[in-house]
Amino acid sequence: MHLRRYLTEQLWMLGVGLIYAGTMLFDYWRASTGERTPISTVVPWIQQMILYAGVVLAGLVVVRAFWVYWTVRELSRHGHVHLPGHPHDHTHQEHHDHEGGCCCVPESELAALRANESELALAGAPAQGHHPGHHAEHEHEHDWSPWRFFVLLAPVLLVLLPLPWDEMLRAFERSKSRVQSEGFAGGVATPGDVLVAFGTWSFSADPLARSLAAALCQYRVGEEPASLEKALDYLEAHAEVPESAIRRTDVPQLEQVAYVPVQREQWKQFRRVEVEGLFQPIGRRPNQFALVRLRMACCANDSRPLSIYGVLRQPVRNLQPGDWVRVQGRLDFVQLSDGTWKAVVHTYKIEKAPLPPPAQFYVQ
Amino acid sequence: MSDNAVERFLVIFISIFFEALPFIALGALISGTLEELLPQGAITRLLPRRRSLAVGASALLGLMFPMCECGIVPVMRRLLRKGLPLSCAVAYMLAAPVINPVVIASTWAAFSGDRTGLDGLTSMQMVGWRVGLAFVTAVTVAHVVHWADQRYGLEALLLPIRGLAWPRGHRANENEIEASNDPLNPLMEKKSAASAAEVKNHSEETPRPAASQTRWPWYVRLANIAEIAIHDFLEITCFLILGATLAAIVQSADLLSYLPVLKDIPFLAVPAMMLLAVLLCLCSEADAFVAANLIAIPFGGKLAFLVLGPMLDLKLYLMYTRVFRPRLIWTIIGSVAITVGILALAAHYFDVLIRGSWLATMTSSSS
Repeated sequence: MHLRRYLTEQLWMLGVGLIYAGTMLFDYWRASTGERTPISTVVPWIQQMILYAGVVLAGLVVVRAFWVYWTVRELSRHGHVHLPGHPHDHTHQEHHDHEGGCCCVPESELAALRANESELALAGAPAQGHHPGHHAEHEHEHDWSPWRFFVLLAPVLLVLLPLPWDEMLRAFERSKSRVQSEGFAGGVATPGDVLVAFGTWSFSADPLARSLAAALCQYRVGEEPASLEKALDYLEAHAEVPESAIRRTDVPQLEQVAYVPVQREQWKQFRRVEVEGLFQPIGRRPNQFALVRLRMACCANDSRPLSIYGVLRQPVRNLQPGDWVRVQGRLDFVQLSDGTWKAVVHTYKIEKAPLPPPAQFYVQ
Repeated sequence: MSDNAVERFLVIFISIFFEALPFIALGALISGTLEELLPQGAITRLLPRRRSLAVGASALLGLMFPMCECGIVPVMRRLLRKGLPLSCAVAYMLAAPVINPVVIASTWAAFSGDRTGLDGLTSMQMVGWRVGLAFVTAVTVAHVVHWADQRYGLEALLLPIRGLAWPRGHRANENEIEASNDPLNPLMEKKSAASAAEVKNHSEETPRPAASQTRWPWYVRLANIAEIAIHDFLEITCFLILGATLAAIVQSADLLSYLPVLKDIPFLAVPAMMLLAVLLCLCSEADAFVAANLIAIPFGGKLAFLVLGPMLDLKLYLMYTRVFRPRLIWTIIGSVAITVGILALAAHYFDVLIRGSWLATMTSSSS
């Protein structure tokens, strides 16, 4: 193996290794300041591992760089490498002194570097201990292929270029949080909707009002809600609900609750629940929506939506798909056509809310 | 490709890349340490003498040395270099990403909770089937690889493995000599006594003890570990990048949205889910969470997805090209795909026989 080629490979390897270590540490640092960067596509514990990997890789590069520098310096000075304290177990073709207990790497191990005397001459070293037979044996082991280093630099460029990662991630999350659903049988915009009749009926204590509400829901037509519904909405939206009566929860919990019949009955007792997530319209019903959280096990590639449904008595306005919203309402559950159960929030209040910090955006 | 597709591609690519990167670094560090510190043939001496038992034990090594599929390639390569027989190395490589504590725990967590009314699967059931099928698949493929080794020889199956560029380069012959004393090592079976003696004689021209037996100063060892680790890290990462690129291109098509088509058709679901596992390139620690969410997919399809994914995907294929020659890669791909396909279908129908179809379960629970 030629010394120049060996050094070139070592320098490339060390350079790219250092760039990788630096990129990992730099991107971790950027993400830790709250910025959304490429590293935000993995869960926090893998981000920590990237930090440790960056530190270890940087350490390895420093150790290796020092060793390459030292061996090349020794080689150019003496023509061989002295290892202090190491037993002197080889024979030199040329005699020279080893003072202070210095010893050398065996000649056979230097063969790789001495295969080409002219290369050694470039390094200022005399040729010695040359074993021509070793040259061919070593050739197969050093698969120097520069194209790999250029491939390796591609993701580094992605990290270092000023790409709008926040916007890109938001777009990705919007597309991932889309719910494949035609909605459920219900909604005030549709006459004869049993579910919404139940929703309207459920928060009135007066048996007559409940019957009327159910009847109005059943027979109302068109987009204009009936007057009793308007009244009920107004009352519920402006009701003084004590904080203690609001049960704060999240989408994953409600998704789990929906599976268990006993828990479904228990959770229906709460007067109001409050839950946050990504707003996604579903089906063709303008008053139905899905509230979505993305669960990520390792990286954005495996993220999947968890969802509950929401239903309003009016069509949803002023909200875009992917907006982060806070919803308050009464909880109910509905069985879908495939037999699964889904939590539904009969929504009294829906409003935009500030995005959670990146570390809490995904459910793990 | 629209702007959104490009953005989607970039996000998926970078997420696969960063997810795998620390595990490759870990694998490379272990690889360098094994190369430098593990005595030649040490692992082989620990394994049972009978090949079938040795292969079985290798398939369970992941319980003690857990590695994910990204990190295991450089480690397996160094173990091969240290004299681990090819069949045992393949068994370890295929089984360890599934049969390890982390993946068992994540599979358990993914299928936990009451799934009555969904697919009726339990954590115990999924973990048991997944680990069992992975073990059987790994052992079966290892025996196929052993057969290929006997038929074609190691030279036709393995690429030369890079040693240290400096200061130790002349190690291949020593490996061969030591391997020749090991009845488990396929090298011995191929090498005649004469050729082994020839190798030994050649080596004696430049007598040198095995690296791990030489008392090199600690800083030399550290520098050697550093070189091997950096080299392996960059080499495997390069092929990770190519694999992640392919996976991201394929996934821009949002494959999961087509899955409901496979409902109730195990014969179609099993191969389709195997193909999906190859294309998605999910980490073995994460794939159970995706599978658990695919309610409509029959049990056999889910199982095929969970067993095949950690053994074979686009990025792994490209990583294999750094260790194996095409003949061995296609032997592994073919035997893994056939074994997993047959076993997953058999498991599906066995499950249907034992507990009734999941559809029937769902219907009865609903009523």
